[in-house]
Amino acid sequence: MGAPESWDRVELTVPSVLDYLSLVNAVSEEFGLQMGADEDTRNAINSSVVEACTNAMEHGNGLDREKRVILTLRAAPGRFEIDVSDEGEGFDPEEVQDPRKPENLLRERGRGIFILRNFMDEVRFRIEPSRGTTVHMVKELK
Amino acid sequence: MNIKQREAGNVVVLELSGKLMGGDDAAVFQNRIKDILGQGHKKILINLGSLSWINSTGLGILISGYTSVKNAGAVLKLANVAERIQSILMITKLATVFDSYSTEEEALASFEKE
Repeated sequence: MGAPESWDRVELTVPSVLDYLSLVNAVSEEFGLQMGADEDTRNAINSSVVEACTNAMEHGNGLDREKRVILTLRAAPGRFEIDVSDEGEGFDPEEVQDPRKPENLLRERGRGIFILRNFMDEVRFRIEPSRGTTVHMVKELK
Repeated sequence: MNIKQREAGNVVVLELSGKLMGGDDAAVFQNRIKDILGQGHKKILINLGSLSWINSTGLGILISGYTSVKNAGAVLKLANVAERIQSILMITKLATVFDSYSTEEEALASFEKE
């Protein structure tokens, strides 16, 4: 989303199969290492990338292996930008409840987007009905 | 995810390895918990030391196990929680739900005090 072409950029396309989350995690970790991110930053980015891809596979694409999830990692000095796109119908991220509320604490689902918003400095959703959802995340390096 | 099971005194220890991310993991873990409870065990320790990572679906699997154990009047604790997983437990406040310990020895000692 508007990043300069000079930024380092890696793109990975995977089918909506949960087993590919290992590859997603590995690519995110290696990219972070190559860009010199420290362990805390890599953990935050890796967890967020895995959550966003899990959401895209499960809720966006309904685990339809014919539908793709596209992960784009970009880095410039002091800044990571990540896009995760699916081919689903889209959803309203504002409907997600706070999983920390006592009544939600033991719910087995509903933490993915909350984790993104806590680990990343910026999270935006671009929902295009019938074309898919893209979640755009930014992590500033301290 | 793979599960290795052993006993330390009257505590059943489950060592999880690989990644906990949903799919078949949910049924595998829940069935193991049910088997252990069905055998009359009351103390279960989940050792996460060899777990490389977990996502929110995997957290849900741990919660389902915790709920089953609690409903059966038994106790479930966590040990060897890696920093990456601990930070997720903290931000989601699940650290207030799970009784977790840095080492298996500390966790086993805590069972003895009960």
